[in-house]
Amino acid sequence: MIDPDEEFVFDEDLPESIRDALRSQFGSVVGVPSAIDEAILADARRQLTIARPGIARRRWKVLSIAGLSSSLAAAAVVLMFRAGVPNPTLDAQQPLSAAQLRDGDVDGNGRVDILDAFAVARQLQQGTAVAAVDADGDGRTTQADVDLLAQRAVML
Amino acid sequence: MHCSLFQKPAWLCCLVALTIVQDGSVQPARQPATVSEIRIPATGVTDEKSVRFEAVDIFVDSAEQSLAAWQLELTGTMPGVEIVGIEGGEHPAFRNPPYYDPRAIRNNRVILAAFQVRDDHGLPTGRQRVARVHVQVRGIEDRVWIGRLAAAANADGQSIAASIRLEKSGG
Repeated sequence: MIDPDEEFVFDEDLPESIRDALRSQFGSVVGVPSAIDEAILADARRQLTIARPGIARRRWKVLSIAGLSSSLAAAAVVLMFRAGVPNPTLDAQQPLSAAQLRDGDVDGNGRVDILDAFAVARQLQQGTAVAAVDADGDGRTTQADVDLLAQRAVML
Repeated sequence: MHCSLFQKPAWLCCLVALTIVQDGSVQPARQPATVSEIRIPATGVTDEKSVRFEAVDIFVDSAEQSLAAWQLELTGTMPGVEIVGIEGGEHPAFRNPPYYDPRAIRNNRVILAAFQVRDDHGLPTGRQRVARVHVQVRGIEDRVWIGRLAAAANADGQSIAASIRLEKSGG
């Protein structure tokens, strides 16, 4: 039993201002002895660890559905890649990194090939210079940059 | 462990789906050949010091897709071959000589590439000769050339499936 006259022991890290506020608000505070805390926690743990077929079944159902969904999703992704997902083009208007602009790897596939030159050439022709590739360093994107990228692509 | 009737088919489905993907029993899209090899026999040649000239035609087949850009590598694997000239293709869109590194001349390896942004003559579809490589040959051994298609794209700049084939010019 709890002694109602017993002075409640606040948590040590509770600021004094809050302790005073609590005291003034509620007067004598009835605390919960730590033994009761422990007993409640122990009971809760025991309840959680008891094997209950109903809960276990539901849990397995959830896991099965999740597993099935993720497996099918993974299979779909693999099949998509096997079937050949179209490569992104510059029309996606992705911002290019400084390295990409400098090296000319416009499509970001890790190498400079003819498709990079082709992409810039298309932009120049359409007047939509999304990728300001300045391969020759003259401060502009021109046909000279396209030719330079193409030369870079076939370099031995 | 408890095992409900529900979970068995679910996990079986997972296993079946993953197995199908792994072993490729689902018919994959047919992949075009991106590598082509040609052996040109040195028929009738007996003089090891003889010098001859011949040409290798390079074809790219983009099937129903229009071909707007391509890049490939051609390598002669036998000694005694030197590239001496590079010519464009048969379609007006690729009639000009493709891009190549001048160091490929007098060498046995070249990377060729071309693109076409203008649509004046349309773009080729199907099988097209995109380049002809003239070579100088010495010796009496057969020549083996390997072509590797590195990239092909349609007019929108999207990569497309295409195949490569090498043939001896006039052969």
